[in-house]
Amino acid sequence: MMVGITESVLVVGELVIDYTLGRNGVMCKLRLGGVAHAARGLWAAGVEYAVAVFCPQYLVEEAQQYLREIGCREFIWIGDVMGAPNVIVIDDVKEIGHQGYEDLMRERKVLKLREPLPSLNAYLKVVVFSGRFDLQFLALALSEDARVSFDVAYDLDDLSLLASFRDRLQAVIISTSSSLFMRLGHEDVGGLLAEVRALSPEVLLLKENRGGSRLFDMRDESVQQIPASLGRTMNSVGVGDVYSSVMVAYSQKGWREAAWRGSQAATVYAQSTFPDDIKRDLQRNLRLSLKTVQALGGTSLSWHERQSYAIYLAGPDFSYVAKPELDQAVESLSYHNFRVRRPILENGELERPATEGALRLTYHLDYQLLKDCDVVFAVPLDRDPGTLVEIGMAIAMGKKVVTYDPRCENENTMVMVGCSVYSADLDTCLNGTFRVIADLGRENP
Amino acid sequence: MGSSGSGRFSDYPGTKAKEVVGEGTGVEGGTSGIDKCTQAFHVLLEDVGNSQLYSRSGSVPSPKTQLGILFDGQRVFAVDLNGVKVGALPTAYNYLVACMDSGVNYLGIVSFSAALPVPTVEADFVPQ
Repeated sequence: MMVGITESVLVVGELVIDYTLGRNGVMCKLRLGGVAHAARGLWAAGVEYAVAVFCPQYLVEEAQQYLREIGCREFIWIGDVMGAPNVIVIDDVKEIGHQGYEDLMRERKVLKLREPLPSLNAYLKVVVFSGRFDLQFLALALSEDARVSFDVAYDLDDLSLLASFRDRLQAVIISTSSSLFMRLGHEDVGGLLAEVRALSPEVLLLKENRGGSRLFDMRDESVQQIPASLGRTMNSVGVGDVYSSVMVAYSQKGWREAAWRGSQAATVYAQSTFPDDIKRDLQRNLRLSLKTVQALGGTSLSWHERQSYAIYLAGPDFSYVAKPELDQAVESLSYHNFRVRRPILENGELERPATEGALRLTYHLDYQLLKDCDVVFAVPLDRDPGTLVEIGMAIAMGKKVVTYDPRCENENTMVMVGCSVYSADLDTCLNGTFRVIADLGRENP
Repeated sequence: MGSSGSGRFSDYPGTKAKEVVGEGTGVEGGTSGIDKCTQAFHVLLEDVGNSQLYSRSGSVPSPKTQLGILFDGQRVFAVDLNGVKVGALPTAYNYLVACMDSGVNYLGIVSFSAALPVPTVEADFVPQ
């Protein structure tokens, strides 16, 4: 190895403060965020790393101290953040729906490179988390021999901005939660693949949240599906960053194994916010052979496949009913790209009182829709009799039923046992929906 | 009115969890003090009707029967003292594979069972 060159992974991006609001049963949490999530993941995986970061001056000393505690070999302050505190307020830590990130004072935020720019020449393996900074400086600042991977989840609207890295690009990593994915790949992954192919990276990783991820090897056009291990999510903030950084760190073992190891790290990171717990659990998991990890499997349901299955929404979806939990469930399912069929919206809300003819017509239309759908998601608020009948009919038809009972009003043998999933927790029901639909896909490929 | 809030990062490694007094603060610490591998658990087994034991004998183990845990390279199973599979553990318990690989073993006791109309087994497990 050349003098001055290190095997450490260099993580480039912004440091922020994450503040999780304490509500909905979640305790508030103050953590160093941004690329600190990737740093925790690498530390927990036992990987040597350094960071090159943009952060506000007031945060530099505290961040340095914190990152030193989690094994950071070198802290390189490459740019200041001015006009904003770089504080993100987080509403939904489980990504049941939109996470409700609030980047305080974001419109006033300006990133300014330090002069002279500190040297990044010593690092040959680099993972960059895009942010509101100009990427061109990196092309000049990094060693010509550096191999660079980009996680473009945030603040990058145009993939051609990566063109200056074409000869040394290893991985492009994107998430279905990002606006860039929504623009390029929401309907069809082909558009995204075409744009990425033009950059000639080795691989594209598409992270698909609870549905797992897909690794597209751009060298041989193969695709590897990496399933998600769906457990109880404690905090999903930064989970994607952990996946990306650990995958890049493991790339010398081949991208397939690297992606599985990244996925393992992400799973562990989602289940705790205590770093020592994360490290202990990840070390245990990484000791398992790749064969074992693959055999244990998990849930694979790609973003695009989800639209192939119709979910019948059983619930009092009436305009005159207070139903915030039902609305949240629909928002959540739609956020995850599920195709929700809402009988009351589609077939119309009956006038009160309704004529017998109108009742019959609506019954038959709803019944037909129930038959046509693949899965039922039920929200039996107020023990709505129509919803309970629909649950029973669906069970008798052999359909999988996921029942979300947020007010715990239907703890009844037939409901709890007859349904594939029964819970008062939307996170659990969402995981259950992913599982039952993924199972349908396996049974009827 | 005074102010309250989070005074510092709440997750330095090497410290035990403690709840911080005051609104807007939460829990801080590097470790929660909880290790899932050393937690006892109660489980309803899956696929009991297709298991080795039921297929061979048409019966399920009676309450208080001792069980162990086995990973057969594909899935995690509850087994009787002869190593015969009684039923599978739900995939939520796949974490046990890493625990067992780290040297934790589990001993179980059947807490409920029924052969008809659908073979059913529930069990309690404790780490050894």
